[in-house]
Amino acid sequence: MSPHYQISEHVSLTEVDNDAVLLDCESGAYFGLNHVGLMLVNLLQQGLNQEAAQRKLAAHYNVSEPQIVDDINALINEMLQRNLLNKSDPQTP
Amino acid sequence: MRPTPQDLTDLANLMHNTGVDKNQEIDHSNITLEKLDYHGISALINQNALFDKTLKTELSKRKPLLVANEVLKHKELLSLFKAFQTAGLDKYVIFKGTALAYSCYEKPWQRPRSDTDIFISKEELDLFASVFERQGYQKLFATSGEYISYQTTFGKHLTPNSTLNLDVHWRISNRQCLTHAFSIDELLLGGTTLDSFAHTAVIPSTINSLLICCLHRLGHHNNEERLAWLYDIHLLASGLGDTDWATFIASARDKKLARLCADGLTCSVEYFHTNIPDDTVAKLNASPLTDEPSSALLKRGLPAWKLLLIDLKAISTYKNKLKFLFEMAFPPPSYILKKMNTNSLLKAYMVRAWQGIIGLNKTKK
Repeated sequence: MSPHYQISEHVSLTEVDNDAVLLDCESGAYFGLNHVGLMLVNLLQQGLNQEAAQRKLAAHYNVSEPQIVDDINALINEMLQRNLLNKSDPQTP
Repeated sequence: MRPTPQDLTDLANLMHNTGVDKNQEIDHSNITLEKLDYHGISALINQNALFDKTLKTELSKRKPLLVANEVLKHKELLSLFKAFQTAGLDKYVIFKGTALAYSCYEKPWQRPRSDTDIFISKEELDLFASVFERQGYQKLFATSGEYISYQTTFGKHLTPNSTLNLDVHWRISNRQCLTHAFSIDELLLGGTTLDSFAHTAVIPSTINSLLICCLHRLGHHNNEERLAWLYDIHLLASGLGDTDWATFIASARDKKLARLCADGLTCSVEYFHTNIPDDTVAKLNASPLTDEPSSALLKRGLPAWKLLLIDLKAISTYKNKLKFLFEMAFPPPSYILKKMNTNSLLKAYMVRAWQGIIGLNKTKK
């Protein structure tokens, strides 16, 4: 089953124009997201699992899913490593 | 060294929303990151108008840092204002950089600042200091006295890379001819609260903010000309209506700041094409120079001894003038020993006197 994610409790998401910044308010570490990254995080925050979010992104940018899978995996892994993102319960929006 | 008018024009032409024709000839070889930082306008540059790709990349890379830093500081300020509320302290005003960032700028992180300025009543300084202490702030090392300084700074490390400094003022300026321009009650009376600060902290009215910006530009930074300060004036002036202008002019005259305001507005019009009523500058300049001691500050690049004379002239009695000079020559022992890094008070004061004499002819920033 495709995993669900949400931004960690101590992390704030600030949208700036079409981009965004994830900030770990405890450590001060921050991570810039471009508009694709921002859309991914927003979809995950809405409760979509990774696969569903991927599908939506592919449809939105008019590309095939396999074209973006690697990039999305890399982005999610990076955010997990930085403690900005957590795996979450599917029921939790 | 103060920037040349051409520097100011070129940089101002690169900024967003200034009403300036972006197609004007700009000498791009003149635009460097150092200059943008000096002027505090890195986050206000219209990047589409930049030719230098490295500079564009550098500016884009900075944005997340600026935003992250702002979010941290905003969160901390909200918690601090809540702590004031809990302690029953409501007589304070946030002014200058932070107040302007959240009231005039599209995004607060576009307005760089090294500290947050808070105006309080001197009588409540100890009460505020207790709150700062409870909130994890430390008082920063600085001189003190009855006349020499009307402010103190508290700092707190929010993260290993982010510090919030609070400049706590009980007078609007350390320059003696400007020091009585505003009282805390006056600023509170006309002030307003902001959504972004959950309507806790008060900021000055637009008219008072504009007066403060004009006062600060020449009073505190006599030998500098940073576009960020002029842009503050531009944004505030752009927000005034016809009736506001009449109030502004009357207030500037009443406070004997008319000449300083005329100068600030003239520069704002020159570099940002600020739309102000035609006769504003003339009306402000109609104030006789002799009526306004602060007009001595219109001359830029004043050496320290001239600024000292301006200060002395503004102090009311000979006894107070002497007190001011004494405080200047003999700062508190705890301060001077630390500053001069010595255990000998005599040596510390002698070095201080020597440095003071040498510095008299130098131009202060």
